[in-house]
Amino acid sequence: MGRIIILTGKGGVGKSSVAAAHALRSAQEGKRTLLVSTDMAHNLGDIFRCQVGGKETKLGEQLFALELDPEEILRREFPEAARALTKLFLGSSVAEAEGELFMLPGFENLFSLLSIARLYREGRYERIIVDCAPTGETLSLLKLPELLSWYMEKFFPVGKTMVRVMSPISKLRYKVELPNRDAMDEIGRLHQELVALQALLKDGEICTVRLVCTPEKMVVEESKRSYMYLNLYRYQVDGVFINRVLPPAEDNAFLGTWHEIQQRYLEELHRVFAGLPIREIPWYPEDLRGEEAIARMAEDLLAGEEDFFSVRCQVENEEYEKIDGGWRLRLRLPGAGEEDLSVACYDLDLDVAVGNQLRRIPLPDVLRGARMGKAEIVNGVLCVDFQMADGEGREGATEA
Amino acid sequence: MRILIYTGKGGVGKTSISAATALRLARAGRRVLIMSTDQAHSLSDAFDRRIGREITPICPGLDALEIDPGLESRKAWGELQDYLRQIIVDRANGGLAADEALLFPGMEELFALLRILDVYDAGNYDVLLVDCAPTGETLSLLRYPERLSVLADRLLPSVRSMTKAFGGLISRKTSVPKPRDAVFEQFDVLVKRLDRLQKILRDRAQCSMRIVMTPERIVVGEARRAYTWLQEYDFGVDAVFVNRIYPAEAMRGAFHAWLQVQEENLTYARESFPDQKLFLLELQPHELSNLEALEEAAEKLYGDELPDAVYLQESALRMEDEQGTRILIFRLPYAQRQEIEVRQEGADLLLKVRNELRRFHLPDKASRRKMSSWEYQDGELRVRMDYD
Repeated sequence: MGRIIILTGKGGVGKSSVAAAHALRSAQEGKRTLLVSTDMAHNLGDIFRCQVGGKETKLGEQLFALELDPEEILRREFPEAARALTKLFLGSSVAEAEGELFMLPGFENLFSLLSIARLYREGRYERIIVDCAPTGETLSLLKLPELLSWYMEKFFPVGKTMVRVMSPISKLRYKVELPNRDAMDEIGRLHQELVALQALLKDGEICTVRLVCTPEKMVVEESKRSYMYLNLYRYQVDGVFINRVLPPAEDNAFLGTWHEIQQRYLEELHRVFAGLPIREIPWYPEDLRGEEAIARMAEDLLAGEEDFFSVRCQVENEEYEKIDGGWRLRLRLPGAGEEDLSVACYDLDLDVAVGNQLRRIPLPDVLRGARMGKAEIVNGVLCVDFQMADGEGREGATEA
Repeated sequence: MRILIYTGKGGVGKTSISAATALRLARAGRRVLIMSTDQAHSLSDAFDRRIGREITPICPGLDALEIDPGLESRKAWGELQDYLRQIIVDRANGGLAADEALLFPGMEELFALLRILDVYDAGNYDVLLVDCAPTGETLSLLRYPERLSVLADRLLPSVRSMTKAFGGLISRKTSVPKPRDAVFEQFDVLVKRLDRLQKILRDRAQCSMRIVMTPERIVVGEARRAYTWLQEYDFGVDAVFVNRIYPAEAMRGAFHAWLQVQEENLTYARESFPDQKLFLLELQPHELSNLEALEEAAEKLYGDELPDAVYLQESALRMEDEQGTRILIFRLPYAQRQEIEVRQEGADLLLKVRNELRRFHLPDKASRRKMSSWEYQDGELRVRMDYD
């Protein structure tokens, strides 16, 4: 069975270098490995000091790299749908003009993901390492398959009827060209592929996510949120890499101070990611480029690690369910008893302490302004209730 | 009113620089509002006090605001959301995922930017400083108004009249409720506002974009791509900032090698932003998280300068199409033809004028092409790009 590892994190934390180190090491183990970048701002070429681009490029005996171009994928794999959407949104004349393609905002990443699923199915690589776009975009990307296939199930049959009814009239009378049958079929196929993609990404035996961060305030905050969202969407996270850790510097007051500042954030990171394998990577005083630099990072990354590429842990998931006037968070906490449990809510952070293990769980935005109600353990599941304060209607489902 | 938008890759210290800038302007007697549109707000940390979604006074002349994107989004398209929710709830079990599903990636941030219009219309401030989400996301947002107005101009009137004509039929056939007029009206208003916002943001006398980076190769690289993108869509970038420069004395010993790398990357930044004003700030020996530290940083950053000046009005580049050839036109006054060298290196176009090297990251639309020829005329350099 193949393996997919997705490296993600806030921009500028060194995600690509860590991904490259993963790939290089994997190839050295004799496994045929593909390093894929989905970032619109590709830099694999920069890191390996060579031209990579949209075709699988051989970098070593077992090492290959690929920089995905979503527009190219859309054009190649779903030509009818691409044309239909462009015609619909930009008009026929634009659609005919060279180079123009309508891409719904945020959907670029989706096509990159579909490509990865296809590469996995083809089975030419034993391991696929994905260097993913910065957090915000990644998150939207991770929820896209679910979201879209959900929309598709609800709307596609409706849409198909609508299009059939309205298409002839709309073109004649309103000069709007709705997608034709071929395009609709392609959209249907897109949906099938999405369902498969979703199953693949959620399969914790095959696909896991590893977070890259640095010990800085802003990055720590964002990493917490990412982890929460990854949990929310049930992705298996099996590793955290803290990059650019400064060594203690007794003889250098300036770096010494920053070392101290970092220690605070390191502590927080260890708290937030308690239970996950965490690896600190030292700050190298250079731009990480070239195979040598990557090889050195790989050494540091893997020192004393066995089985680095297998799924390294299975973490509990959190679930939210709708209750009257708010939400209930259900958190699997096997073996925990109420006597050693304490729960406190600060703004959008929920601190759950079991014994001397504290986990800080960032809450989703929907719960902004909510009040924490009762918290209890039922059959090994911690249930925490949140009541919406203002009845602004953001609680969703029930009121409509 | 001056609008200053600070943007840059995540983690480069955008918020600290924005906060220091706002404080500096307020101390000089301007009425300043600083607002953050980032989901992960950090203004509270910079000013060391709780801010939030109401305008909060920081010190005389300076107010701050952390936008609640959920609230803005509700204001902007609540009707539409309700309509979608109605359809969805009819067909699904709701759940948290359903609420999240009503937001397309990046949409909330776009609605957050609409707040600029409110501040602009109220006219209570001399300067509005916006601390914006990281580059990639920000950029994709600025593209929306253009796309949405295409959508609104072309589709909306048709869909509306089609709904009038066939709404009942479709509703019966598909059991999707017919949208109320309010849904269309709100969408129309939304698009008009986005359109107005874009016009204001493009007016270089009023609005300047500023890119913050650190002296790292990859970060400068991303700043260059952001700049090209902003140029392509005609937003003005008048200044760039390099933050977190390691001071030489701090790099004694083990980290000495970094100084050389840092110097190379600074040169790379200078060559990439030759027309913009460049501001530099060294890494301070503490975090910038209170007024005193910010003021000190502003002093080092600006000296006597007042950063609400417009540092660059003209657009450095424009593009024209001529029978399939794409022509990039650079403003390059006071040069002599024989002093100019032009060459292409992959996705970069290198211009050498006398001894000054300028690097320009080619837009996607041009980078797949090769330079075929160039000419210099009336202070403009015209570079012709063709397919092989």
